[in-house]
Amino acid sequence: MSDNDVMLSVEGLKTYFFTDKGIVPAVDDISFAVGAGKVLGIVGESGCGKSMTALSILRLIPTPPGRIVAGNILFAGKNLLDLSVKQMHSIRGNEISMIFQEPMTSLNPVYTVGKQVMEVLRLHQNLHKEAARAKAIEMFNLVGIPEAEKRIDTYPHQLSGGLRQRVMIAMALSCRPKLLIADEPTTALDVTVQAQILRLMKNLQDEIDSSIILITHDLGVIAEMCDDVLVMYTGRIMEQADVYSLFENPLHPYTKGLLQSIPNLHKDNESLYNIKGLVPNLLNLADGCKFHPRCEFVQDICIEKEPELFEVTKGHFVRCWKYMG
Amino acid sequence: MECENLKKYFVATGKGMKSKKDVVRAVDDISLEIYKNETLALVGESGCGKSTLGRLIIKLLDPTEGEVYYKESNIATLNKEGINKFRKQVQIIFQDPYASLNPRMKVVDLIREPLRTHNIAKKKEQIEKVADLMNLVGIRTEYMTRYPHQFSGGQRQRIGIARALALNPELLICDEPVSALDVSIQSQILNLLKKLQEKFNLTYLFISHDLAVVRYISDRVCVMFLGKIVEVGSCKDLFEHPLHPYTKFLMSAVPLPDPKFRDRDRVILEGDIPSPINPPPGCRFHTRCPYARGICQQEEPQLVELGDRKYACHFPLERVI
Ligand SMILES: Nc1ncnc2c1ncn2[C@@H]1O[C@H](COP(=O)(O)OP(=O)(O)OP(=O)(O)O)[C@@H](O)[C@H]1O
Ligand SMILES: Nc1ncnc2c1ncn2[C@@H]1O[C@H](COP(=O)(O)OP(=O)(O)OP(=O)(O)O)[C@@H](O)[C@H]1O
Ligand code: SF4
Ligand SMILES: [Mg+2]
Ligand SMILES: [Mg+2]
Repeated sequence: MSDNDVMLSVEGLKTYFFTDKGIVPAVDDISFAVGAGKVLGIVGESGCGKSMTALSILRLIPTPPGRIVAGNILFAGKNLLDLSVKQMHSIRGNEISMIFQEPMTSLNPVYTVGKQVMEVLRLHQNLHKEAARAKAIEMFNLVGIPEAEKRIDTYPHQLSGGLRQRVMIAMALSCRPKLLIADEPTTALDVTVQAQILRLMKNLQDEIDSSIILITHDLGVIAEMCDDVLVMYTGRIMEQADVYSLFENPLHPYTKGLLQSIPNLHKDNESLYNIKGLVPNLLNLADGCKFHPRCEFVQDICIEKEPELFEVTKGHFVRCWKYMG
Repeated sequence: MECENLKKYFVATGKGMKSKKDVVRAVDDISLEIYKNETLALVGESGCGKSTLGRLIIKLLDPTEGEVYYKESNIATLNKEGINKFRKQVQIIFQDPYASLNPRMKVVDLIREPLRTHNIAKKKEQIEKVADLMNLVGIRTEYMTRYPHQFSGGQRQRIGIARALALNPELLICDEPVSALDVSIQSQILNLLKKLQEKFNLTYLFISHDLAVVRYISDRVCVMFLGKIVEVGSCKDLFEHPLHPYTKFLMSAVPLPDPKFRDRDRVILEGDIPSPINPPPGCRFHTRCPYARGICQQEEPQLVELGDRKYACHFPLERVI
């Protein structure tokens, strides 16, 4: 990627939680870039640091106990970590916006959904009341909410999960952000509704031409939606590639294991692969490669020393000793 | 196990503008058989009545109408001894391994509880049995004196399975047993369930909304929509040749883990799942069905048998095409 094509770049980001029991390295030295107009997927199992990566970019890490301890987050020529609270506030919801997994936690139950969208528009685009209302209706139509003029005056609990998620998307896109961060946007939805929402996000992205960071634990969603993918484990990037290389030629034993652990809807599956063991506790991580206690290919060096993220073929990176040297 | 014309209606109590008389038809006239030694999957989207049906079958809920027969006896008319026996032979595993285990009990007592309730064996033998069960489901026996919060989700699900197996049941109702788990743990639990079934000749009713998981684990599949069965068939047959449009569109909505297929031709259903309080007249699926015609809005299709398949649709797919 040349500099012109990069929307956001994260360099050496570390986000730690300082707790009574010790330091939790939730995000531990990750670097990546999101291309302009591209969808970057972040995939990994529970607790691997996906949400904390997203919240770090928006500087929404709960402090204390959490803190960004190192790194740069470069966006539109600025390092977001150097901005004042006020400057950061004007970027959030304007140039970068976010959709959360559970829309009920980010919609206020006492206001109508229309009022909440209008509020964003008035704040960030300086629109008057009438204009904001017209724009909100336009956004509701855009995200496929039927009877937008009527629905705009309803309260969040009166809408189905799918409609609430559409409201969230309308709100997130109302300022035409350059970057949209979607954290498990469809995990709480039924599959038929998930398919509608993913299609909607894809269509809107083409229209508004924003970049997206899509966080999910579902490799199916990654394969449907993303251009580039990061596979995370224990706060680290284990593999990074464009989506076709990753699925055609997964390299890391963890990525391979994950792919083989999913049953196939269109085939009889005789037996499923198991990655042995458990997702580790970040408070007492193994030495060496963090995946070695679960890895089939472990060698002596894996136990002693942690591998670097290594470029195997152009643009395809993996953190595993099998591919180094 | 067999059920006939089962119905369960709830009176809706939720807030909002609904009147008091609203009735949720959670399970609405369902008949189905579970054969010995098979895994029958119940699939469908949220709120279609899967858990309610599971609870009716094990008598955690009493039906509004209809009967459930276990080995030919009606479970509603069992005497005390009969019920006692039934409660040993039929067990349930829940979706949420966090909520379903009492946080104040040690693992050993959690797994032993069913043995105590049913007064089976002396304490020493009970504890030996607990150790066997823990080995069986892959939890180290040193952990007997730990509490549930000291375990991960997958380990807690194993504890739930050990507990359900304590009384040597014949039928296990698994209500979304892997939905809350990470994929690497999900596949471990699925393989464990398969292994246990083989070893103890268990029968499973496997409730899930994940079609790929269902394809892996089940022998037969029953697809539900808004309190009704829309299709039943053997697993491979049903997935390869769905007869009901809902089954087909449910399958096509599943994101496939291979980007080569992302541009495949597929129909995405529009709209939301209708409310079970006022289900649409005629076929309940007609408001979302691209094949719906006049009759679908008026007449409710009955479940029709076709060999070992059943479907409830005026225009089953082969005839549509
Ligand atoms: N307030 C906190 N105190 C201590 N540790 C925390 C805190 N918040 C998060 N963590 C830890 O940070 C790690 C990363 O959390 P994060 O929420 O990013 O995971 P995730 O990948 O989004 O997982 P999920 O798929 O479950 O949403 C976790 O292991 C978690 O335990
Ligand atoms: N105790 C109750 N009182 C009132 N309504 C209920 C009750 N239990 C369930 N329902 C309603 O009955 C319907 C079926 O619920 P059920 O829990 O069986 O669905 P499900 O298919 O298991 O869904 P999920 O996939 O979300 O678990 C839903 O509309 C639900 O709101
Ligand atoms: S570095 Fe070693 S232990 Fe880690 S994934 Fe590679 S082979 Fe396995
Ligand atoms: Mg998260
Ligand atoms: Mg349920």
